[in-house]
Amino acid sequence: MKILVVEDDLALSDVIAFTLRRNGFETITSHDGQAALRTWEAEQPDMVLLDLNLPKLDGMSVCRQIRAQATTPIIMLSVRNSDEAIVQGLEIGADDYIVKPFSPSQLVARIRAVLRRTGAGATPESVGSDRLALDRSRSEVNAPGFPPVRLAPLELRLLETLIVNAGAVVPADRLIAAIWGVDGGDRTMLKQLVYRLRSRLDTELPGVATIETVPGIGYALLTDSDA
Amino acid sequence: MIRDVTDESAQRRLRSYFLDSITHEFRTPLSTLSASLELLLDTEVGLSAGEMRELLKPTHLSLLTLQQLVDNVLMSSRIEAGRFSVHLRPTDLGAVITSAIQLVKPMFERRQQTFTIAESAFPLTVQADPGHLTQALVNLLTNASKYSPLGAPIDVTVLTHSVWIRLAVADRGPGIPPSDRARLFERFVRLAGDDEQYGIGLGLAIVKSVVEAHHGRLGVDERPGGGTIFWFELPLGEAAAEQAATGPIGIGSP
Repeated sequence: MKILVVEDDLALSDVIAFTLRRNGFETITSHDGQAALRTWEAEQPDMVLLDLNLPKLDGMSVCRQIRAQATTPIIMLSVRNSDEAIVQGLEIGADDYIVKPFSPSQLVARIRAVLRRTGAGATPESVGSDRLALDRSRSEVNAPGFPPVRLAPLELRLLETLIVNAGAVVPADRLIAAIWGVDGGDRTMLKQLVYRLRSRLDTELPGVATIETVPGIGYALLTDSDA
Repeated sequence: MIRDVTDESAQRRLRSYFLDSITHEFRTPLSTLSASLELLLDTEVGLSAGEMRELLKPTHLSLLTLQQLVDNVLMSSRIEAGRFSVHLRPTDLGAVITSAIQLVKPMFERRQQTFTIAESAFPLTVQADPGHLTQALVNLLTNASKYSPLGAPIDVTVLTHSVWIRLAVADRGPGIPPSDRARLFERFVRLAGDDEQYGIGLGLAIVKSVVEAHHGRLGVDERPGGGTIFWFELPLGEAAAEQAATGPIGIGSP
């Protein structure tokens, strides 16, 4: 999994690259907007971490130019923490927006969430187990003895995040970020989505899996083998 | 009563620009510090000595960046409030150059930039305030590093005349059009077409104030072959001028 880090501050670029390497990602770096576009074209990374305040060509322009040609996941990094800046970044095509300063562990979690959500890079087409498997390319969930269940995009993202963490409690905020991106959703929206997906699983795949609510924390997917 | 609202509006814009810029300038090195310290303190990560050093280098660089930023903001505030003054005393310019280079060395190293120092004549003793002169030189060297490509050399030249001494810093940056040069030393100036967006626009204004407080003068020239030369001249005192006529007294090497 190759990530292009575009950051003009070399000290910060070094720390980000270090963090990513320690977490198993291959990293390449660029320090201005024009070089970033050249590197992106030449290297075709699986993701771009993009600072906004860049020399030669600003990050928003870099994002627009990449988005005009490809769906490479882009996470913006910026000191600008206003709603306007975040909304603008997401509207022109960023998949997530991280405000500086940030924690390395949060950065890695957000990268993984975006990769899961966008199905980018080496993420397999199918996740899950023999008892419950999600086919991303068909947007379907399959269980032996039942016809495939076609899911809506948001249902797919929710179930995917729960399946890859099957048996464990996934915090509500992490689910929100994985489904809608930063600031894109809230707990009420998540509650409604969980209600919808839970109803569908109960009626269309009875006895295969349930979504359990852990009050004040989040949700966990339990398959019949966990019961 | 008539108020000049144009002026007030310009002041508001300037204040807003300053706050916006300074937030950015602080947050970036703070990001490096918080991220690298989190990694260093995380006992679960289990870093090797080499990895720790790899993280300490950007940490050190960011600390120096913050230090320079704070120094410049404080100095600018003193200048604006009319509280800036220098305490002139016989000062070895060689030692000032050494101190300044020590402070920018981590930046030069990370940007793989070398520096050369050429002294065409001696002595290097001037009537100066060493602290403020070091800060001015650090600002010139930092600018030269930032605007030069990675790996490009930075040249420092010291030239002594019978009554003044000139210190010049040459970069390999994109150069500055002659029409823009006069405004370079004003606070918060961002030149048209300057897409590099470095800094908050205080560094060169501070250099100007420091040099003028030393009864010196400063300027900017095009570097033959590309880039810019920033220079300042300080007057030599009578004793130093006499020494200039008799011979060299040496320079501390960086």
